Amino acid sequence: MSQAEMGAIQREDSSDVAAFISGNRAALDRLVLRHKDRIFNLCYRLLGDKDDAEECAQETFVKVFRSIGDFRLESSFSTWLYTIAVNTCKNRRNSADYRFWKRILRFTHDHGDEEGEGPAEIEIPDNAPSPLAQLAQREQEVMLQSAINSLPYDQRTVIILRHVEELPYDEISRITGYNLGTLKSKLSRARIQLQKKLRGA
Amino acid sequence: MECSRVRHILLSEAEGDLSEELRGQLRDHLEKCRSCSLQFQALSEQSELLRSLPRHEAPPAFLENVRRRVEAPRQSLFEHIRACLPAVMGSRPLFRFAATAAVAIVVLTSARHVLRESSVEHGVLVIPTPPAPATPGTPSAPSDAFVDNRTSDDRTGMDESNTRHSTQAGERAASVPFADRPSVSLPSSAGGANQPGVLPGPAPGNMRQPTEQETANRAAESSRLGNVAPRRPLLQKQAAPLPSAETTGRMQAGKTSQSPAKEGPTESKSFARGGSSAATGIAPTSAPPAARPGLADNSVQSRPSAEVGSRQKQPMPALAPPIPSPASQPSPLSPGARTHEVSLTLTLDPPDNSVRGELKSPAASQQRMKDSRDLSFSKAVRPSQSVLSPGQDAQAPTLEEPSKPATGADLLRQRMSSIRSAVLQAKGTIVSDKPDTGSTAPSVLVLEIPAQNYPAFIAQLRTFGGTELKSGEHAPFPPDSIVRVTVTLSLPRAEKK
Repeated sequence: MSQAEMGAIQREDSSDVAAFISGNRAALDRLVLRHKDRIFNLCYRLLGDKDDAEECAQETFVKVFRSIGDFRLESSFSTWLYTIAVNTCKNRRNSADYRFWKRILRFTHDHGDEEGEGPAEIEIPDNAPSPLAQLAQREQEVMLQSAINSLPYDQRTVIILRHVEELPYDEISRITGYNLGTLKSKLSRARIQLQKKLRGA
Repeated sequence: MECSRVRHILLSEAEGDLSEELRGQLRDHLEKCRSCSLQFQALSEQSELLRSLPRHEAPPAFLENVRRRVEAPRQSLFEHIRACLPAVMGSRPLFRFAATAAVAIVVLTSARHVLRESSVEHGVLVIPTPPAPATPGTPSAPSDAFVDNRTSDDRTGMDESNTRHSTQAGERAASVPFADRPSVSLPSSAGGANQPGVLPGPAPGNMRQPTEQETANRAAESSRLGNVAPRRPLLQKQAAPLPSAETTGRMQAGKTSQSPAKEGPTESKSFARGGSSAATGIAPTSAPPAARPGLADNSVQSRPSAEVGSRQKQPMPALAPPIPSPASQPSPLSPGARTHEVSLTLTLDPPDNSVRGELKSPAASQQRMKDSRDLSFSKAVRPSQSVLSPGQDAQAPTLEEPSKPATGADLLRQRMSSIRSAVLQAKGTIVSDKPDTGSTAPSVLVLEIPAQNYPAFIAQLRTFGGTELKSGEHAPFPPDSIVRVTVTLSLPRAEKK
């Protein structure tokens, strides 16, 4: 995403937030439609489960719109959105409920979540080289996602924000609350850890 | 550039934030060092891999769901609780343990309750209640009294009605030395054959077999008594070592109390035997007139099979004015139990020959059975003290030739023992008695009756003659209290010597 695109999105966000605060319901729809996929993808990568990701993404938007009066436009709307999404996913992951059901369903659902319902097919464009390549790509994604899931949550968060969402350091720093040094060291450890996991896999 | 330093800045290079100068040095090193080059390659591949991860889109209904949730009213109470639940269940093992413990407590409590109820109904399982603090000396009195009265004497023959539990041949032989004791006493408890070593055989002089009705009644009675059976050994233990005024009785009591463990199992059997001997006792209809009162008295509290006795005697007026009683003898009371004092005079009914013929009719007999059942004490009551002692029945009285004419003293003796058995049936205790069988002075009994059984006891007492309240009142007493009754026995004027 280029700087210009980012700037354009930020401007639209600001006007829509203002419109929503002044009572324009359509602004809500525009904000949701503009960010839902990124937030959903972030939640999915953070949690590794589609249902959890949908729940957390919805909850993120609900929280945002309920507390939008507190939004001071000091940072971009998307940064605020990311911040709430990361915290929501963290809370969900820490909840005993989540851990309990994850333990129960690990051997039954994980497989289906990752490759069963064909979300990868939707994602893979038509010009994909071959079914074999699709399969290889899907397997690669499953492998990578499980390696990400095995990381500690803070490392997982920074590596996703940095290398999946490709956010700049300063925005990641605002989202996570880490200063730049902490962020870089966490990122380094996350990458070494991930390398070990992938090599082991 | 050292490899260790290169490894350090490799990550920065992979992140793309290395200065131009360092990047040049790094490239020089990577061209020479294959290990560092492979490391850098792996990191670059990883970055590419992460970047190439497919982007998942939100589900189709995402916007609708968000809109619905945003526009919905603020969290309901349920949602609030649900939101708080993760915090509550934060330590899941602890939560599960608490839930399991709660369920276990509920199940165990209800099961115990159900078992207790069913045990009362069916007599299958009785959860023992802790015994009430026993008064030293108090429980022994009835025990001894019954041992004494167990023996037969010249009166015994007349109490056909009581002999439901009366003794068999062996016991009678054993009781011969005490032949001058009052005889008619008839503890209503079962277990007549429990005296160790004395196995009662069939009663001699068995004149007729028990009827079907009698058998049924006995069975019902035995099942009723089954409910209280497990308590008996304990009570007997209390009674046995306590001092007694009559040494012969004590000997027998001690002997009896040595076998508490045997009592439960043998109980119903011995009860059946008692029944057969009751049948034995019923037969002699030619009892002397003096025997009649005994028959009537004891039939009230004895088995339905022996219901030749009469309650028709009950309404008969007292013939003599009450005789003032001496002061009741002091005796230790149960600590902590509330005690109510009641003093009354019992004017004994004279023997009445006219009743006899009437009572022999079957209809009257049936009526007596019914009345007796009505009089039975509440089974649900668990008295704080009970003197039911099966062993005492073992030597219980006794057939004897109904030859001697009744005298006032004899009547008194009969009544005394009838009252004793009534006390037993009411699960009370005899604190003191004054069995002055040889004199005409009024006999005084001091009894302690559990308040629950007090009304029934008084009702039974009235079947023996006219009662007159001297002090205290028959007002309903609190259930857990004890009523101390001082009964002054007086003879009808005509019978007095």
